[in-house]
Amino acid sequence: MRPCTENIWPDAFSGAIFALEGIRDVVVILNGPTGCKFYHSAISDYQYPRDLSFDPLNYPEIYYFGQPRVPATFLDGNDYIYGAASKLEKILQRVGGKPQYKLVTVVNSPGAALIGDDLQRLARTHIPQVPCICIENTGFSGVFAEGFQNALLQLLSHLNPPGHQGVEPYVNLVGLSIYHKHYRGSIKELQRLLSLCGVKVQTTMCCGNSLEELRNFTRARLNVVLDPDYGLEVCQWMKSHHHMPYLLPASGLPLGFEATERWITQVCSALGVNPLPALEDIESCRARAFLHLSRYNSVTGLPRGASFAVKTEPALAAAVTIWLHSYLGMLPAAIELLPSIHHCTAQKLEDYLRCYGLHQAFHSKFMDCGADVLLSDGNTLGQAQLLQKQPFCGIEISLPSLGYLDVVDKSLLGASGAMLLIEQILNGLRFVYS
Amino acid sequence: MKQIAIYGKGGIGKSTVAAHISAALANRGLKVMQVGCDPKHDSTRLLTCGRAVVTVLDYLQKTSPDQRQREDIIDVGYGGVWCVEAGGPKPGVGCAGRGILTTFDLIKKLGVMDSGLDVVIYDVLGDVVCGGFAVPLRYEYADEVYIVTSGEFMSLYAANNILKGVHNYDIQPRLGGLIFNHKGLAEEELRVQRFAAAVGLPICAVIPRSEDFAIAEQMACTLFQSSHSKLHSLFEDLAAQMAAEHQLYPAHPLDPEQLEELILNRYVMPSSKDIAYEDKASKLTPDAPAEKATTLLSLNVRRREPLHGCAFNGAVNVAIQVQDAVTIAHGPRSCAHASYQTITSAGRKSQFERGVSMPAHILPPLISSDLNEGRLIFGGISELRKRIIEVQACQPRAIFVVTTCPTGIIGDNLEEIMDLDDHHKTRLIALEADGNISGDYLQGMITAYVETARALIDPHITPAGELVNIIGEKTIASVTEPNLKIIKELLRQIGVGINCRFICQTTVGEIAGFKKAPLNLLAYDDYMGRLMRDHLGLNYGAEFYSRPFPRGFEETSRWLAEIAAFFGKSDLVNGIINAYEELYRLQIAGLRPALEGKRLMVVTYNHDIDWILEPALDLGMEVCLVGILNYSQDNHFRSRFKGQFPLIEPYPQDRRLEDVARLKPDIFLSNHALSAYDSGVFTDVIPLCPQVGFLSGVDLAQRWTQIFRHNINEGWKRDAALYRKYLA
Ligand code: SF4
Repeated sequence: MRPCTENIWPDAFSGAIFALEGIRDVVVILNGPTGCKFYHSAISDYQYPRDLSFDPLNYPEIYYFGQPRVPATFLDGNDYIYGAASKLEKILQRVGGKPQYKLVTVVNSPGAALIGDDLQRLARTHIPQVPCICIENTGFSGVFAEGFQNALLQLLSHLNPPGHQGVEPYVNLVGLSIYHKHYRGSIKELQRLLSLCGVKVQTTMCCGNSLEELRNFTRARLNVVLDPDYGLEVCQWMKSHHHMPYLLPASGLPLGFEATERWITQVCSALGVNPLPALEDIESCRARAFLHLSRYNSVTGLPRGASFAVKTEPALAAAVTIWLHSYLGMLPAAIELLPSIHHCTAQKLEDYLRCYGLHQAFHSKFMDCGADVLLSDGNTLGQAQLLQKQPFCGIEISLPSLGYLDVVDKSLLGASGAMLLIEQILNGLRFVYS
Repeated sequence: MKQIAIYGKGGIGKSTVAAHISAALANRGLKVMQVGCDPKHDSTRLLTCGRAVVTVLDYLQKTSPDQRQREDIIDVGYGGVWCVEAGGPKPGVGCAGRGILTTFDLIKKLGVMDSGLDVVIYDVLGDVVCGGFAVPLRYEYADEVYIVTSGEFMSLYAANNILKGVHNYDIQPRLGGLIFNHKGLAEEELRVQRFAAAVGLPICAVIPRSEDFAIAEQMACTLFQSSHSKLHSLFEDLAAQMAAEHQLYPAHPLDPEQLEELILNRYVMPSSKDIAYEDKASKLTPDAPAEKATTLLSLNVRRREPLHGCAFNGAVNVAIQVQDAVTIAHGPRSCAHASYQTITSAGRKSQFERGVSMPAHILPPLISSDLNEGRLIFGGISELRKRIIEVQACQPRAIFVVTTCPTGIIGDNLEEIMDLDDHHKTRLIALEADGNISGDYLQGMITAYVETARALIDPHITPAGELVNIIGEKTIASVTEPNLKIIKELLRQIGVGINCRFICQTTVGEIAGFKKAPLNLLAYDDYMGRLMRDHLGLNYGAEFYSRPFPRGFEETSRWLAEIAAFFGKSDLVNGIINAYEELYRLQIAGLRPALEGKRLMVVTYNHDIDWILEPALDLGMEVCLVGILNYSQDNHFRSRFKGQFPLIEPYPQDRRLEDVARLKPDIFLSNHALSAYDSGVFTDVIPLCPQVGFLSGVDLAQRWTQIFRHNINEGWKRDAALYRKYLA
């Protein structure tokens, strides 16, 4: 039998849950069966740990099923016929009343979305004193990022923020989720670089802020879109509803030195502050990278000419591809993009490759053509290890992870993200070319 | 803006009434929109002169989200009325209710409601009052509700059901009244009046039977365009009434007995709940054949407990174990994704932690039929057929199709794909888990075991040779492959081979040859194992050895001796056991100095812990308490050491900390370590699926020795306060 399967990516349902789960003091009640709950609770807890133990006995409450996150109404066949109102009533009263939750959100599972219980009415009736938003249909098989943005939009439109102040050089970073690899480290790194220029990050929306921090999103002078799939609509909404300007940096994600420099320069110029301190910091990282690259290159001639393949979402794929090609002199062998909302990113990448006569990579798959380095998620890397005869080096840039526990926060973005990628590539190529 | 929902039984004439009300309102100079909420999508036909309106659901299917525009779903009809039709699937397929939900969603998203409308009329089918058809009743929509009815019983019955729906939603009165549409039946008027009086509603209009309607229908227009009918004034009055402020009424539906008595004017038999049930068995004739019990249920389902996981996921986890088959998850991608990630998480863990590749868990042969909203509304079978044909091109020996909650809810019928089953090339096996509608995770596993056996086991093979099958291994436990290695080695030493692992890392061919093995070995003696043993014994004549995979010295010795005896190889056993015994004694002697006299407390879900107690007692440890937690899948705690330690069964979860403080054990053993936050005791973890073989318990004790020998105390455990300060 020919292998005909590949990693199955999350869809809009997970996008909505992980958006809301990324807010520190919000509870996501899943109106659905435990079949949908277990996975989402486990991933949310893993990506954004807030509890000390995996011991199910620590979470004995009925709706939690031994897990700390995403309590669920545990719908069954009867509820699909008769509706889930009575279960919802109970869970809303029990979970919604907990003081640690500043906002209750209810998300329908795919099955519950079909039967059409009126969630908002139930919430209004049973927990009138608690703010609550309900997402009745996250979409079926929709793009993950779309579910993420829709949930975030619904949440923002429910908040009652103070009017747009925007005096201080504060920014909101929009377009990262807790389902992004190394999201915590990436945010810290961007915060670090911006703070060198006197810019403060007001919120990162769904990556660990509290509801109150999020509610104050209007304090930022500027919204900065990181990945348009995850943030553009939200920024457009903030512009039309709160008159907040936004910046969609032409350089794309701040991944790699040059893109980070351009990104910082653009953000600083939009805010009217001096980017030099951050640029100097990046320069010192470049110097260090140069030392290592030069020594490595003098012995091996690499990484120049080494081939690489990327399989991930378009914005990340574009940033990685352009940087590995333009800075390290590596050659793209296969670029596989996941479904997206904004096709322009993919188009830009294809145009870039065409410029260098490399667009064939756009129509190739790593499993068919191989490459020295594969940048993707843990599943794809594991599968490649199983099927690929040629040695290659795998670098995780998306989830799920192969399982390495990151005690030290690492970044994919910014200067330290660039350093991490260089480190992984140089070490990986030693294995490939040994 | 006023929103008015007009409900009524299908075919009662509510679309005609709705269209005339819309027209009359428009004639008053109001900006009106009529939304047809019936899959037949002919609500606005009279307003559009018979022009077919593009239905919202068709439009959604054909237009990408970024190109959707308000104008595309609106047809402007008579009097400038905006005409919108939801559309929907053919009867018997898909989910029309979901279609209505989707339509309202799009209307909202496109900002139609913010277009300066004065009145919106929803024309809604009232036979089906599922969540979808009830959307117009939500508070954000209908301000007023009218019910069109004739004097037929079924029409009044539907009207009463609609009242029940309204009743469920209402906090404040919203009913305008009944609109009586004559059918020309005897005593019809009387029945409607009786009903109206009983439910406390006015009859807002009485629409007579009239030839004028037939003419208008033929001309595909309203009476306002077709004639100078006397009926104009009737609708004008009704529209005026609706447009004005007026009294609204609460819903007081009747119960079924009242309804029958009232309308049919007859005495109603007491309902079944008032009659003692007769013993059905006594009515059976003596020679009626007794039904063979064939439905296998998981404990969760049998006990009607909250379901743990979904049958879809359980079935997928079994199906993907057949290496030369492909499994199609029929439903939205989220279901396949969750299942895929659960499966691969075990594979990634094994690959990362031990460098051991578990192919089925690294590259599970699983794909999704990726149903989108459109497919779920209109039915997903055609998409599924396409997927099956695509997969057939990869030439698997079998294709499993597993259904999810959404495809179960919309009723996709897998019979319709069975013509693609090819006995010679690719078998097609339908696993109708329907998400969790059929039950929990274990129920799905049962479905997969039973259906796979039915489809693949060749019943004509007779047992021969020195072979065993292994039944019921836990496919996602990390210990499964290491355990297999140990069992395989033990069996090898007595000259016995493994025929088929049912169903773990196997192939279609191995399952087909299942009956070749004269003996079957259970991996676990739990509920699932016993269920499979009985099923395979009853239906395939499978003979089973009575004990599961052994743990600890004593159990393993007996297991090996009895299997060897079955195959007439007893002479080989003594030598093997003696060699292991020597090893066991040697290890115990080495561990004793560190562990003798230490106090051990165990709290666990495991119901067979003799493999831990055996070395603990041999080491001279004091077992100060064993607490057995209740776990629905296995409630058979047993021990040959009973009486040698205090036992609490079932053990209440919340007693742990109190007992630890009271008993002060040196070692606390559980399935999860106590949090460093709450205890100072040394804890170790018992795996839910332990290692098998002669040395299982000794290997665990080895860890404790290291800790006591070196008097390990972790400094990090003193940082709980810092955690609280910075992160909690
Ligand atoms: S929707 Fe149903 S089938 Fe899908 S994952 Fe959830 S419980 Fe399982």
